[in-house]
Amino acid sequence: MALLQIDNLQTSFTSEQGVVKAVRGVSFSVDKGEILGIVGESGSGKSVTMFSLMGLLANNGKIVGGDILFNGQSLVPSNYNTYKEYKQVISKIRGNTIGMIFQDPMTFLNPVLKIKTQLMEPILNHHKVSRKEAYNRAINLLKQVGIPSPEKRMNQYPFEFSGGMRQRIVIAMALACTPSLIIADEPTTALDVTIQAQILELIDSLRNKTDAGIILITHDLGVVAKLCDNIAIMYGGMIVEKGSAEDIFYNAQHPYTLGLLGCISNPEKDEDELTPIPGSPPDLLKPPAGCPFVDRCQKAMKVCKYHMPYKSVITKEHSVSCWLQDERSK
Amino acid sequence: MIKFICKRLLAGILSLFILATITFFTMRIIPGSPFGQEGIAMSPQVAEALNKKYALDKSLPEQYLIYLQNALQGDFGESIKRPGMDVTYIISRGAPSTIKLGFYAFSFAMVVGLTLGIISALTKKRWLQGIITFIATLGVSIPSFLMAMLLMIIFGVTLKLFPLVGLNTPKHYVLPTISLAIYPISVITRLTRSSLRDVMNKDYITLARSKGSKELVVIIKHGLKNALLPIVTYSGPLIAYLMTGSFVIESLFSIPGIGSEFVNSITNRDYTLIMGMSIFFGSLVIITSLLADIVSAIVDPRIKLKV
Repeated sequence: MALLQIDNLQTSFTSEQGVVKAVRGVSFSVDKGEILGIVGESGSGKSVTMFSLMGLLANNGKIVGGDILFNGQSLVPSNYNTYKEYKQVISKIRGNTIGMIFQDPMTFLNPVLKIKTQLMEPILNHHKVSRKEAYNRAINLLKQVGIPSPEKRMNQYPFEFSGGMRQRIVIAMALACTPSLIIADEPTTALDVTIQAQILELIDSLRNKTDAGIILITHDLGVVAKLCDNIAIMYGGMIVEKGSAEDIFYNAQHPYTLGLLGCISNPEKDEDELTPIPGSPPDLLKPPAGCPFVDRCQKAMKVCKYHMPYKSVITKEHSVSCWLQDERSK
Repeated sequence: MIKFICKRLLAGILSLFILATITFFTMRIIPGSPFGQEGIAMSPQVAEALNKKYALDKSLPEQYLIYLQNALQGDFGESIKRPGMDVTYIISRGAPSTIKLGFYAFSFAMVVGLTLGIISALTKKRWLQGIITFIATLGVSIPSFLMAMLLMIIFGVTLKLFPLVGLNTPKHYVLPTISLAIYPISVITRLTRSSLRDVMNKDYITLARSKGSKELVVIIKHGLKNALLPIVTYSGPLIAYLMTGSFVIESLFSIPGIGSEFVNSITNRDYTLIMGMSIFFGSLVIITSLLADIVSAIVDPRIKLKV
């Protein structure tokens, strides 16, 4: 059984303009020790998928369909008799067996609480230990994520840390209870390049040490190339292509994936220009009936506009949702 | 910290000096004099004698220097309008009841305002939000004298629950405290509501939830401490405002405080008393805002106490 199994997840937000279908049928699974990369541009539903899983959706957001199974236990509120029952289940999981690393270390740390207080919180929430013991564990966590002189740092406030150090603290918090699943939501987006590499190394070392499953969300293909075993490409609230890292980088099938690959600069080739994908993502208030990428796709056909492509299986791991790969269009 | 307080106190003394200078010259620009009633002419000899007694016959700069010299030695002079009564005596007689009442009103406003603000920010019940917003709007828009009179009529005259005149027993404090507190309650409620709502949508609240903390812990530990800052900033001037007393409330409830003294001193052109009052209120404002700054620095570590 996979550690995490998501089947046909659908999440919507109600807004004044109408219902925003942010996630429209996403399925994937993560095993122990596996790093799954989820790649997509802003608004493709990556973060919303993770927030659905953690039960951290804003008040107007709701899981409207599909299922999330973590260690065989459902994490969809409507599968419980009462919301209170779901709350109890999810608050035992949050910060304990699932740890989440957030995007922006500048805004995700509480500015008025000491690092010590924030770091000891998940430990005291989930383990019956004394404050002293929690303090010692917190010190170890800081050492683990590579923060020098942790004893002194424990009594400081977030504003006394640099961006990279803060991200290490956010990571330390996610690791506090040695989770079996770590969700890293764009952990390097807000950091500069040298720090990015350090943080990615840190995440890679976690997998080797803890054997946790990791979901790495990013919009940077370069980041996933280094770390991930499997990659899912998201667009318009759906997974358009999914496969192993080799499949995606050397045998990409979906025009969007190819477009993304075209956006990576290659210093070995002497090309001056990158190839951007023209246009913008679809409006999820009125999602298109067909393939979400149709308006920006250079190979779009008539069928793409009105009919959703089926999932075409290329190899056991590699699948793509594109009419070009459909048997009937060949 | 101590260095900060010393520096701020020194700056405060400088501000007091500037305040005294401005008050001294502007009050002399106001037409009229402390002596006699308007329309009734005094004999020139009497006027001259009085002017001589209070050194009003000298040039303005000279008078200013004399006043400063005396004030620095702690002599604020005697009231011109009430001969034989020192300005310091008048203030020290009236200040305790005014400050006491102001302090009660401040505490009451804080407790009620914060509670209403928190409830209104967190409740999902629309009708409850509506009621609190209604109360807050009412409190801001109804003038305090009207509110005081309404309270007097309802609780004092009709229900006979509380006495109306003076400050003799604890019961006497109830109605004036409430009338004074209504306006700050409304302001604090609105401040707390908007601040807490804002904070509860912040990223660090999401992170706190992701650690598996209970919602109540998230609200109190992560939400409130961050939301308090604007209220602390507001409470400095507020406490000064409440402790300097309200002419209206003190007159309505016949409270022998200094709020009414201040207003009367100006209509009477009682120069020495005006000066004494201004310096007293000035010091109160300086001290309370210093206190508010220290409290803000305790609540929010990012605020460094530096001048």
